Amino acid sequence: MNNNIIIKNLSLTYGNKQVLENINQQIEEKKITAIIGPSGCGKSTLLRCINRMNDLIPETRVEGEILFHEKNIYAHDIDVTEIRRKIGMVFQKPNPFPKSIFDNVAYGLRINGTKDKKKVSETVETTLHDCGLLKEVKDRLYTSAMELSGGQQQRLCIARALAIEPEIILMDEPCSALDPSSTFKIEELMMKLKKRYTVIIVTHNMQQAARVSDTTGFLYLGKLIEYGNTKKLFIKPKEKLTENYISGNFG
Amino acid sequence: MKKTFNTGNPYIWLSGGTLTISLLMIFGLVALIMFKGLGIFWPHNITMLMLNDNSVVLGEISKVEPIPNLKDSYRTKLKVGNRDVYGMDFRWVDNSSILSQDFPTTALTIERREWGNMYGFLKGMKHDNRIESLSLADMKPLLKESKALYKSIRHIEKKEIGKINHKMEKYRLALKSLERKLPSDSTLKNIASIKVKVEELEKQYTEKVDNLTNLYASAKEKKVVIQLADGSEEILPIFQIIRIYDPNQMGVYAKSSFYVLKFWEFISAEPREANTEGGVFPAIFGTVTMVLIMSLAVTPLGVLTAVFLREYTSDNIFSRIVRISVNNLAGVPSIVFGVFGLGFFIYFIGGGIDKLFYSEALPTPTFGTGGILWASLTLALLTVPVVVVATEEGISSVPKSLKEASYGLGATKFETLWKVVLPQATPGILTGMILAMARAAGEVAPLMITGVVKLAPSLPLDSYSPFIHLERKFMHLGFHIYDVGFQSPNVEAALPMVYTTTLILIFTVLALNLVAIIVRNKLRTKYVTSAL
Repeated sequence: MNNNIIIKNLSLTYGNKQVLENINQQIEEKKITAIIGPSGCGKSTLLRCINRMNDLIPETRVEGEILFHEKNIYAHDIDVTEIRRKIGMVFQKPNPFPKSIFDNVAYGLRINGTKDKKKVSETVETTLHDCGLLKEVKDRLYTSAMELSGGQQQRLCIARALAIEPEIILMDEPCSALDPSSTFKIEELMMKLKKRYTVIIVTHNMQQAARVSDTTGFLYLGKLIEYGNTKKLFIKPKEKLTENYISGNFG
Repeated sequence: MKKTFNTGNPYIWLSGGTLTISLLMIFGLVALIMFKGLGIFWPHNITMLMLNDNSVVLGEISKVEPIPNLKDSYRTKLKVGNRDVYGMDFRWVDNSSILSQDFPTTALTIERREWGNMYGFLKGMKHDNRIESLSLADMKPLLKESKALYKSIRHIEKKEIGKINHKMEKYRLALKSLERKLPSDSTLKNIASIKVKVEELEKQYTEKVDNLTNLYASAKEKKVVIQLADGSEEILPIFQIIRIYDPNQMGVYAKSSFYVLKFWEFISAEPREANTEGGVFPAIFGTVTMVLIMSLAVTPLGVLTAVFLREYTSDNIFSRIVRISVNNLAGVPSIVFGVFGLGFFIYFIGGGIDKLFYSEALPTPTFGTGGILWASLTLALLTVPVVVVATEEGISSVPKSLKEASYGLGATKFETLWKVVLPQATPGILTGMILAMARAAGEVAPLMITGVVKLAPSLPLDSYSPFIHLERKFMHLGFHIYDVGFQSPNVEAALPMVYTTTLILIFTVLALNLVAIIVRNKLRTKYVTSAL
């Protein structure tokens, strides 16, 4: 079964403002896809289209299709919560719930109907372990997540998203609020996640995109200017605009 | 000059000054109430004044004030008590007419069950026609005896006869509803069996009443003779005496322990003598119960309204009108809510309940008359805007990122609301509740027409099933203040009670709020949001 994300002729307007214009993109499975571009080019909006997070913003209109498992996620008979369960998201700022570390990871499991306490605690431990957080928080699982450092909080948010076993993980500038060493840990984690999940990351940081991603898309003023293999895009961009951007002429 | 203004310093002084004035007013208010209210339990010395018309006055000095327009002349207000003899408790004496002043050590203050205090000297015990001398120490066992007697009388009156009455009322209603049915063998049999039971109860009742008459008769047996200031003698049954003491001989320690005892009596006992003596316990109990029922009603109502306004409607004309209306509800005079409560809750809903479930008791209303439930619901309506506004603020302070995190994990709107937004908004909700409680505890006007009474015969909570009697009328501290101070037969003597009752009201509100504030602060630390 093909669980690729295929974006077809996607346009998005917010009120009277055209934010995304006719985006066509095919996202590869079990790879890291980076979306880069200057501020306000619509990269976060594009990412949020993929799990219909933009539904929460009033006056947003979406045209075109996003196919997931060959089904349009904007079709009328689609259950949005089901989409968001399969396509997890990590946000720009760490946003753990003001609950205990355990409850944060267990939140998704509980709302998705896992009642078995043993299963919940097992899943919490393995996901925390996968995110390299278990060692650090083992003896304070039941203390508030707010006491963790920023980097730990962000890894907790990743663990929270992983706990419900999504197929795709969307990351919206996950390191922009973090220091270099925390950033390094999260990038390490991303490389590990690639083996099991399809990862799409929006980043402001071109070095990060070059370091971690397999495929990169360059978005400018709501249009996908260039999309292709990361190495090729960074070394030999086809478009003049891309070249200007990655060489730091604007953005 | 302009420069000084531009530094902003004058504004700091201005705002600081207004704050100081506000604080001073609050402290002044509390201090005045405490000063006026806390003094009444202190046993004051008894003064004996010889006047130039050869009369003698005995009593407590309650006030000395200058006579207007006359230099260096004063008059004294004396509490002379003995209302049954003199007709009034207080008397003004011109200081220029006082020949001498004395504090006789044997002067006694006698607290009575009726007619207020008596001031005088103990002559002795009355036996038929002779008077046997009696010391104050000898009075102690006698008073103990009479207290025990009083207790057993109260027990019979309240508990035993109360129980019989309760049962009789039940049988009466049962009979009434049976008699309305078509006569059949089984109903006739039931009627007969109930009538037998009623007869049995009536027999018990007459027994108890006989018992009571005997007790009352024995209560009148022992009497003491009290000599008043003018030398006349009064015969007083010991049963009438609650307390007898000689303030002029009491030291500071004795007076302090007396004070504590009296204060405790005030907050734990029932009122006596048309509320002017005794305690205010039923009023404290009524206030607290009413506020608690009100909070139970107002919280869900206000929170759900706020959730709807904040989460389920977009900003359109409808939601704006609702919001404006809710806010304006706060400005409606409270008596209007009282009238609404009377018309809607009491006559419409209460009357409906009576017709459906208590029809056998009609035309005597059960729920179709003022009661603690209706008063609480009326106040809940009155305070709903406060809770709505505070909850809306609490909900809007929940960071969007938290909601998104929840949605991102596949949570529905309801799950997000229930598990993330509402817990996070709890401190805001509790703030609303605290404000609502403070408002409700102080509101009197709407209560007066929805269930508050001068004297409630029983608390809304007792040992008869179903234990909580929401239809009962109740007493309230706010109304009690008004009643004691301005509606009692002895306004002047009761005036200090106004301040004391006010003090108790303030402390009750304070205690209720303190509990809520502690809970809120606990939750606040629990739901502290990310520092990032």
